[in-house]
Amino acid sequence: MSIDTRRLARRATQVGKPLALFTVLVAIWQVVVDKGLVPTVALASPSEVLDYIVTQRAQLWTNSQATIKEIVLAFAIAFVVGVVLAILIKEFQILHDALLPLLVVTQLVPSVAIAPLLVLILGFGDAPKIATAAVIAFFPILINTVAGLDNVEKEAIDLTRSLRASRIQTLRYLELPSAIPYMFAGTRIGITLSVIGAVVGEFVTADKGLGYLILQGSSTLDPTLVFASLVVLAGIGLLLFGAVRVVEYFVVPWNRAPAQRGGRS
Amino acid sequence: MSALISITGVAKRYATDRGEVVAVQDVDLEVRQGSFVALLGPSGCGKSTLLRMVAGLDAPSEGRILLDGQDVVAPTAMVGFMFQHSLLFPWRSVIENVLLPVDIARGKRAEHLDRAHALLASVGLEEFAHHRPNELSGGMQQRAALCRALIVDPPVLLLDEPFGALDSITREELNDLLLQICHESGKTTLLVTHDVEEAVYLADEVVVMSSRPGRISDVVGVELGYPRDTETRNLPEFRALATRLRKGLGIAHRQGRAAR
Ligand SMILES: Nc1ncnc2c1ncn2[C@@H]1O[C@H](COP(=O)(O)OP(=O)(O)OP(=O)(O)O)[C@@H](O)[C@H]1O
Ligand SMILES: [Mg+2]
Repeated sequence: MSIDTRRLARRATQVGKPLALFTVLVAIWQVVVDKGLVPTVALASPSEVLDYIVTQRAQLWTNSQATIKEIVLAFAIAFVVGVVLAILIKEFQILHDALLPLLVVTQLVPSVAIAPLLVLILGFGDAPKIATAAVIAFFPILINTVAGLDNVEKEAIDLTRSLRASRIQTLRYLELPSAIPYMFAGTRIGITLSVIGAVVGEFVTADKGLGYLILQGSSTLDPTLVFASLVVLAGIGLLLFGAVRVVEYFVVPWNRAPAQRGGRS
Repeated sequence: MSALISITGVAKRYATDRGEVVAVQDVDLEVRQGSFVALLGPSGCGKSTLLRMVAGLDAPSEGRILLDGQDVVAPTAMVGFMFQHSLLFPWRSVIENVLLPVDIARGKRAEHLDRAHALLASVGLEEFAHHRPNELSGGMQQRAALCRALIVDPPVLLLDEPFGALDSITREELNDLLLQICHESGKTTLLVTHDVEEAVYLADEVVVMSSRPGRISDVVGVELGYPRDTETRNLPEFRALATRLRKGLGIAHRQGRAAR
């Protein structure tokens, strides 16, 4: 109990310092705009942005829903494809040797550049946006899961061999569980990339969504709209990232910070 | 009593970047049913290699290994293997770790739960059944690993320096525990160690190995009888045997150096 409160206190100071800096920066931003140090067409003051968010919450919320839907669907697809592919790559050497290098090479193409291509292929609905986000997000999930599946101690494999475990059993009882922390490392990157991917998709083709609002604000010289959308987008990103951390906390209890002391031996 | 483990003319060579390494050569060894044999030798003399071949984890390059009259070609259900590291899975509780062999053998956990608890109790871990492995000390982790090796009651125990990473107090404690378990259940045990006292205290036969290439240089019977306790360590016979083995190891060392 007392340990938990101490950890909470430490967490609070961890959050407190960046929060303090953030407040200072916002205050500077407010002053800069108020004193007219920058042409207002480029910058909206924090109070204006906040005011806009409150008064236009209905519009922002409708567009947020569209974007959140794209992010979540894209992430789900990326996660399933990434993990399943990782398992196949682990289990079939031929895929490891043939497919994995190809996938790595495809990462040299800036993923955002494929969004227009996906529009050509998938048309103008939600599909190209979801596909763009999924394509961008799946790779870190895949690579981290592959690394996790490969990073099993040789002796632990010998243990399951001595118990005459089948390949599937070794995967189920040893390799997959030990890959879970890696999977989450990939997932934390993947969820962030899903947000980026969804916005990029909306930049290319959209009639709704926060990315669409940002473009609108930019083309109609409305910085308040741009900033308000950005703030909401940042909030969504933070919430999703936090959700992943919470799930991780409960799914990977053996890998929580204080337990790392003992390790495995 | 017939030999439960029979090793004849076994050699193991590894192909490496710098050519072939002969890990063990010309090994002949018989382990009687119910006996406790210690493999003693300097680091790198091929003890683990030999044990792994008996377990069916590696195949010999030459010679034959029989377990209960059958050629060992793969790991068998007759063997419980214990490593220097406990290798408890951190995502499983202690009791779930003990039950891992049952899960892998597709057995019913419920049918083995009583035995698992009894085993944990016998090593003094009953209160820790539902703890996570990282909440246990190194010695407690090895106790749990011992329970895991015993849960499906294999007739043969192969132990590769199971107490090598522990402090001497904990090691002596676990030595007594192991001795008691092996004798009560009539296990046939092959233990790798490089601790002379541990070998003499536990075994009724000590097999001394020398290095490069690893081969058997001496086989010494330990006629101390059982049960053994702390007093046993002070017996003149015990001290004499330990001294003899130490000398044997020293000579084995020097031969090893000269051969290089
Ligand atoms: N997979 C391998 N590939 C190449 N050489 C190996 C391999 N495994 C073992 N060896 C070599 O075989 C020899 C015996 O190794 P082994 O691990 O059996 O020794 P050991 O007696 O168990 O040593 P220790 O007491 O340090 O555990 C060593 O020289 C080692 O370098
Ligand atoms: Mg060894």
